[in-house]
Amino acid sequence: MKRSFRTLMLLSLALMLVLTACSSGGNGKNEGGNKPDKENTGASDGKGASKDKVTIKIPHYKSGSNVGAKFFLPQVERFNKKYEGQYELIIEEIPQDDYNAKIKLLAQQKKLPALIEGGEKTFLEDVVIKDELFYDLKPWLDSKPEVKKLMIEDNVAYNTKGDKIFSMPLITMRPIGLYYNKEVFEKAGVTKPISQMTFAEFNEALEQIKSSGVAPLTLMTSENAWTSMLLATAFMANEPGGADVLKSTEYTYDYTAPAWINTFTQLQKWFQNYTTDNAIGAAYADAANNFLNERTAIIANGPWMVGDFSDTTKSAEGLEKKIGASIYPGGIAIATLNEYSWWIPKGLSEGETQAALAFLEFMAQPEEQEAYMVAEGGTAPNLQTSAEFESKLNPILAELNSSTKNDLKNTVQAMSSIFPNQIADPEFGKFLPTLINGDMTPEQFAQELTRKAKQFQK
Amino acid sequence: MNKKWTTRAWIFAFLAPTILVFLLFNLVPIITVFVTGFTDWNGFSAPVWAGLDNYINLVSYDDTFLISLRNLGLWSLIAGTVHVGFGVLVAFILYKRPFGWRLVRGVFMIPNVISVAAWAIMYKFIFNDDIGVINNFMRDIGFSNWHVKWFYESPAAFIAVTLTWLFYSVIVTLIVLNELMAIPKEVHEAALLDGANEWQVTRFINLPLVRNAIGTGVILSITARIAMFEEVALTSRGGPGNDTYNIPLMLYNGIVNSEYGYANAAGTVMILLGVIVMLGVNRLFRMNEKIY
Repeated sequence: MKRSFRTLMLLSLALMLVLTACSSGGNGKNEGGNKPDKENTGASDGKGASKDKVTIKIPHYKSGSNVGAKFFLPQVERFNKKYEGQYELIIEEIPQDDYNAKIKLLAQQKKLPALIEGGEKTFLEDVVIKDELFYDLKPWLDSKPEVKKLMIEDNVAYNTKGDKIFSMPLITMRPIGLYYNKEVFEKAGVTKPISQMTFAEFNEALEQIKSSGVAPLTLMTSENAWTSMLLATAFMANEPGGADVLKSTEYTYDYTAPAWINTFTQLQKWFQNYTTDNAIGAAYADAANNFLNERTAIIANGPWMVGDFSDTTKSAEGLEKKIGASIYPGGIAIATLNEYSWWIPKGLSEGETQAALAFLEFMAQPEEQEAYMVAEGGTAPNLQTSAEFESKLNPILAELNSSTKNDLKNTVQAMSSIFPNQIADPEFGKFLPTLINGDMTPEQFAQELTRKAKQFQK
Repeated sequence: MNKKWTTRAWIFAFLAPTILVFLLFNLVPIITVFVTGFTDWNGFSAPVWAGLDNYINLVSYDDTFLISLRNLGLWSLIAGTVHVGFGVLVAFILYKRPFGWRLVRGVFMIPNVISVAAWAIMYKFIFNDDIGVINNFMRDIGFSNWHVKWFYESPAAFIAVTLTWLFYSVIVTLIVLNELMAIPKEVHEAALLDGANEWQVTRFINLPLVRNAIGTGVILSITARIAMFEEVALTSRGGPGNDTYNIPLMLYNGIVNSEYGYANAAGTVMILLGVIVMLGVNRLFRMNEKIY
């Protein structure tokens, strides 16, 4: 009896093993590291690309209510119209915070979409670039001199990995400045342009604004503490040695140098004296809401925010007429040329690759770049803009351009660009309340961030 | 084929699908987690043997692990007493079938059909300083300077995170209520004939007879604390500083940083803690002993 029971057990085990083996079938090796997945990409058979329409479906955060959707989705429409019957690009909506994680997940499943914009730097460098899981753009770019000549050389260099080009080099760069409420400034008696102030003068102006009854700064601690981090970046760029640190092409893991400590000290003072009560715990939406509804006088943010000033569902009526734009005190602008842009994974079908390249070329067209700058700001150093460009430009963006042109002394990267991932989000924002509450001194804050950063340093 | 053999075969046949699913979807991942916890693995390239490095990093890099363990200990204590106690209390009240008991049972179930992530976001609003009901209530009743930043101050953050789950114990209630309803009528009749009053029946008959159900509730409640992620990640994110950190956040931190070996070491610790809790509670509540 025992023997029969054992036999039944063994038979059952064998059945399970067979089923287990079957379940792992189909994971064939893929040379390019990416398995074109028709269900995921919606791609048709690339072999007949010249005759059949190729549809590529990509997840992207510039969709839905994301601020970038306003320009990006119509651009996709224009592309689809231009290549009607040949290529179609479909955008799958995904929250911005989930985008990098989704790309990593799809990479693990070998189901990367045909077009990806950037991604987590460590993942791109340690996995995608190191294992050459990308489609080399160099031969294609060499065959498109009209596109190549528009590109910013520094970004071409950054994207060049050995003899390959990883991602589409930038044509337009968008300096991040700040916006301020002119009416509040006037009432407070602040007349000197911010970009011509020193930070000591800027702090005096904050005091004047505070005295006039308005919270001067729009600060936040949640998410990546974006608006706070930008102001801190500008302050640090004015500190001895700070700009050099902020221009690094590598991540920085040590924040105990005097430039950092002074910056954290200043940040603590700003939070404690010159912002709203809800700044601790505020996410970007809360911070933006404070500025858009005139509860604060200054917000640091990119040119993509300009559209919000005239959007009455977000802003107080007529706000756009009160807004001025500037780069930071000390003539500092924040921009990065050390970044990755759109890239194509290796191992797609020919049809998908051609469709993806067509979209990159479409975006690089002078008229598209110009439309992009009109909508979201920025400058393209190698692009000859049309005669109407200046007149089409939003007056606030024009003011930012003018401030950049006249007062720019230094351009640095945002602090978050040199923070490793876990510091950029969440540790910096997570430890900020302890700094603001006084539970940590700036020195302790710096030490704690340094310890966190070094935990996974390679 | 004798009767005993037939019975065993049937038992096995009915268990086989469950065993199969367990092997495929639980045991294999558990073994993978355990083995890769000893490797340096970024999730893409082949894992490289790293011995105990991940565990050493996990436990001794800074005070995060100790804080996580302290938090888990406190949360487990609160879960095993207040959380389970509340669920048991509701079960005993519902067992008496007071007016509207079915409605209460249904309403008590609602939090369980709403995702934890949604609850976490709701609690961020509930505890918001500007618009949250808690702070506004306190200001309305006279504490005009009441401005607690619930998820961003110590020790308020720990309290706020605890309150996001503390009173949602319907699973405990349902298990205990089911066990109460299964107590044979004769037991109660005999007790009443012997002159026992309502309190004595509850204290000396019902409570001991639902011992196993309460034990199960304690296990479920504490293991849920070991695996608690959304309640922390979507509210305090483990902050301020490391104040509300826990092991699932350490695991998540490993994944975010492409340190899957480290993440799986954290996962292994969570599994081991779960097993310890199961064995401990089993023993404490003598769950293997027959009740009737």
